Amino acid sequence: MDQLVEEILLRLPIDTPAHLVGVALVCRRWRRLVSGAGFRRRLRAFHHSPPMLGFLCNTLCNNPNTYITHLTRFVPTMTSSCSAHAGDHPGGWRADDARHGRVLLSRRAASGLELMVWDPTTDHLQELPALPWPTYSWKAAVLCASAACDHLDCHRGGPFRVVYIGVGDDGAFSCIYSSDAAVWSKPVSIELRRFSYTKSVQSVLVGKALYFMFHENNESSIDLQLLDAIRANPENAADPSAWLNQGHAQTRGRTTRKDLARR
Amino acid sequence: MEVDKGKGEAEETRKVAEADRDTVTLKSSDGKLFEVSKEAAARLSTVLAGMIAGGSIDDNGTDLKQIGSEALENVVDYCNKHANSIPSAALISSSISFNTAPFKEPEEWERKFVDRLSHDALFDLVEAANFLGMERLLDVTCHKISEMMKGKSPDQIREVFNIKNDYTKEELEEIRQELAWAFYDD
Repeated sequence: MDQLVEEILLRLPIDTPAHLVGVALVCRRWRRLVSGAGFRRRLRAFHHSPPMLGFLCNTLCNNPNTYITHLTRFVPTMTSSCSAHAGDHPGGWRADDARHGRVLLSRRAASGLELMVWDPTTDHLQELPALPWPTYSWKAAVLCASAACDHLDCHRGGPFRVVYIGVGDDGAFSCIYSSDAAVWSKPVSIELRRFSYTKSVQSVLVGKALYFMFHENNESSIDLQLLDAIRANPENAADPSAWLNQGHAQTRGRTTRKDLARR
Repeated sequence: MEVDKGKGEAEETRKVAEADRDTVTLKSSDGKLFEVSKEAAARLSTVLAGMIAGGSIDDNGTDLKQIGSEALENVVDYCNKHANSIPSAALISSSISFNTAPFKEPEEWERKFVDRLSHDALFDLVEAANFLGMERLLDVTCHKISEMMKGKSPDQIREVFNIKNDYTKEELEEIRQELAWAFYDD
C-alpha cells in the first residue's frame, strides 16, 4: 500500500504547500515518506516546474525619521504565502545571492560589511563572522555544502558555504566561509585588475564551478571576465578542507559573452 | 454490381463485428465472470497484455484472485468506456508518455467515472489498477483520492485512509510548529 500512498500524495497540488506538508501530521510512516529523498525527486519529476511562491526584491526604504536605507522585500506571488516570516528585511539589508533555499543578505555597517544567511522558509538567520579584510568592492555567493545533497530540500540546518571575492588595498582575494567550521578560510589572492562587479548579475553555479561575472573597463569596450571560484573534484568535494584548498581562486581569463553561453 | 458490393460490405461489417467480439473473460476473487475487449485490455493493462501475449488467458475465465467482483466490474467498465471515449492517437500518447510526461488531467468522462464511486470502491479500484498495471486508471484514481484529501485535517485524512495516529501530543505540536510556515494562511 505504501507505493499507492506515494502515488496519491504525489498528485497533491504543490501550489499550496499546506496540502503536502499537512500529510506529515497524519502518521510517522507518511512523514517519513514525504520527507524522503526518493519522494522529493519523484515529486519534482512529476510536477516538472516547481511553483513560484514569491520573489525577493531589493528596494530602498525611505523612512522620514532616519534616512534612505536598503530593504529586502519578499513579494509573495500566491495567496497562500510560503512563510509567515518571509516578509521584509529592513534595516539596510540587501539580498545579494540566493541558492539552495538560502538567501545571502548583506549590509554596510560602521564596523564594515555584515553578511547573513537567511532561510526564508523557516526564517532562520545566521550571522557570519566579520571579514577581517576590508574591501571596497566585493561579490559573494551562497551554496549548499553537502556533496551528497540533491538540493531539493537542503536548506534546513544543512551545511553551507559562502564564497566571497573582494578587492581591497592589497588587491583581489577570495575566501570561503564554511558553516561546519564556522570560520572564514584564509584569503587566497587572485589576479584581477581594474574591474567592477556587475552587481545585478548573480553568480552562476555550473556543476561544481561557481562563476562570477564582472566588467573590465577599457577605453571603449566592456569585456566579461569569469572567475572560476570553485573547482572541486568530485572525490574531494565531500571534504571541506580539501575543497577549500583546491585551487578555488584561479581566474579563467577573459571570456566573451559567447563563451559564457557555451559553458 | 450493386448487390455484390452490398454483400461485400456486409461481409466486411461481419468480420469487424467478429473482431469486436474478440474478448477475454476475467474471473474475480469471488468467482464472477466479466468479459472485456481483448484489444482494450491489452492496451490499458500491462499485466493483461503480458498474459494475452503469453497465452495464459483462460477461455473459461482468467483467475484474478486479488480483485473482488465490484472492483473488477469497474475495471472492465473503465476499459470499455476508455475504448469508446478516447481517440486512439491521444490514447497511445497518454499511455506511452506516462512515466516521463507530467500528469495529464483526467478527461471529463474519467472524472465522472471515479466521482460516482464510494470510498471503498475507489480504494479497491486503485489496488486493482495497480495490480493489473493500468497506469492511466491508477493515475485517474490516485488523482481523485488526492483531490479528496484537499482541505482535510490530519484527523479526517486518518479516517479516510484508516490510519492510526502514532504520534504523541507533544510530537504533533512540535511538528506543527516546525511546519507552521506552510499553514500560515490556512
